[in-house]
Order: sequence, then C-alpha cells, then structure tokens
Amino acid sequence: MIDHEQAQELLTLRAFGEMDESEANRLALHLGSCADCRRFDQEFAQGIGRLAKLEDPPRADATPPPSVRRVGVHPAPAWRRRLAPLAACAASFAAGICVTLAIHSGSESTPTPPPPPSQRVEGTFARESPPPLATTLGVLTVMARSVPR
Amino acid sequence: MNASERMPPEAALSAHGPMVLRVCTAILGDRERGADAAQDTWLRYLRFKDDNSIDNLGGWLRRVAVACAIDLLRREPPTAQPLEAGESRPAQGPDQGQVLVARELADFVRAQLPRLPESQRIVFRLKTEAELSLAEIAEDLGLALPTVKTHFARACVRLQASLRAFSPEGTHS
Repeated sequence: MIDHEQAQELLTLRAFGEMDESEANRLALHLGSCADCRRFDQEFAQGIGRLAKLEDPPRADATPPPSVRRVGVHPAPAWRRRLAPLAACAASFAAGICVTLAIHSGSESTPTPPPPPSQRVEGTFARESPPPLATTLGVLTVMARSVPR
Repeated sequence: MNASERMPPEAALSAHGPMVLRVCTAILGDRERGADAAQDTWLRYLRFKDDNSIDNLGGWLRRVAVACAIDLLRREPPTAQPLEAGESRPAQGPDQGQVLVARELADFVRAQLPRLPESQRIVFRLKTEAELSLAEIAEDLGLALPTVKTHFARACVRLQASLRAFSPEGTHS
C-alpha cells in the first residue's frame, strides 16, 4: 500500500503518461479509498497537468523550412548577438546623417518653378532652328524694295 | 559510428541541429545560452565524429547536449528570469482562451522553476520543454529511471503546491 505522497507523485506521472502498469495498479488501490488524492488528481489536472494536455506543437526536430533550419543549425555567434544593439544604433545614426544631408542638399538646389504657359510656348519657338540670318536679310530686302516709296 | 549513421557534418546538423538546440534551451531556459551550449555540442561532435564507438548519433548528440548545457548552467548560473514572458511554447492551442491560460500557466511555472532543486528543475524542463520521455532523460543524465521519475513527480507536486498557494481556490482557470 502506498501513502498519500507516493500516490500524488504517481498521479503526476499518470498525467504526463509516464506511469507503468504496476504503478497504475498500486495507484488504483490507493485512489479507491482516498478522497484527498482524488481531489489532488482533479486539482492537478486543472493546474500543472495542463502542461501535459496541451496540444503538442510540431516537434522542432521535424524537418523545418530551410530558413528556420538555417537559423536553428547555425545560430549567430555570441559576440555578434551581443554587438547587435550597438550595430542597430550605429545604423540608425548613419541613416539620420544621410537624411539630414539629403534635406540640406535638396534646399540648396531648389528646382525653378515651371514657367507659365506663354513662356513655355516662346521657349518652344526659341528652341526651333531659326532661319539663317542671310535669308532673313534677304526677305527684308525684298520687302523693302517692294514697298512703294 | 555505423555506416548508416556516418553522415557528413552538414547532414548531421540538418538532422539533429534543432533537437540539440531544443534540449540545450530547455535546460538553460534561455535561447542565447542554449545556442552557446549547442555550439559546444557541435564542437565536440566535430572532434569525435570519426569515433567508431558512436552507435546512435542522435542519442549521442542528445547526451552531449545535456552535458554541455548542464556544464554551462553550473559555470554561469542564470541571473535573470528565463525565457521572455509570452514566449511560451503552449501558445499554439486552437482556442484563444486556452492559449491565454496556457501562457499564464507556463509563465507561472517558469517563475517558480528556480525554486526547485537543480535535478528536479532539469528533469522537469527536459520533459515539458524538450519533450523527452523520462526514459530518454534517465539515459541522458546517466540516472536510473525510478530516480528520474521521482525527480519529475516531486517537481510537479511542488509546482502544484505553489499554484495552489497562488490561487486560493486550488484551481488555475
């Protein structure tokens, strides 16, 4: 016959599926006559015993996806993990400098606003190839000659 | 090592790496320290990988991982709380309420584990976090199965008593 302490230990083993047949027989004999241990069994099932009844997640040694496998098999060295916060600070500081420089250079070379539509038309004419000066002079000469005096 | 077990180191890493990491993390209660112990395990593997006396590579690696993690645990006792709150494995249940209760329970257990004797704590973690059977744990720790059963059962009873004190109704739901 087992005592309360042994019975309660066996109850925890039973909750986690670790009790063999002889232990089960001894426990059954005790539980039949012990209300305290039956109450402990109920309490344990609602307490620590829940850890045994939780749905088992996939075991970590099942083949994980490649990314997970890589992380699990090749964990970063300790020095790299310890320097990670420092590296993050340095990166954010460098990013801040870059943003500041970009803002300053942007203010120095402010783009000129687009010209009004009329100027844009002039610009278009100006960019077209003008007639040769000789031709213009020749036209003017013809016009001058054609004007009656 | 048998011909069937003899595999290139990369294949051994792929096959057993997650298990080694899981066992080390379970004992140390900390992922970073678990990774350090896992690296020690693989260093030992590289030193002994051509040893013909290794019959079962998975079992050998598990025993070495347990030894490396316990060495690290004794060399550098943890100063802070183990795993971060809310990072518990049981957070994958289908029901959100059950998930929250499981998370709370796992956090409570983690907080209470440092109060247990080292042998009980290691056995409890290997059983509940590394999901090893008590027979495997007994083999890894070089202890008799009844001894491991006693360690585990006493850890459970003590944790249940702490839970009862924490929750006066005796339940934790």
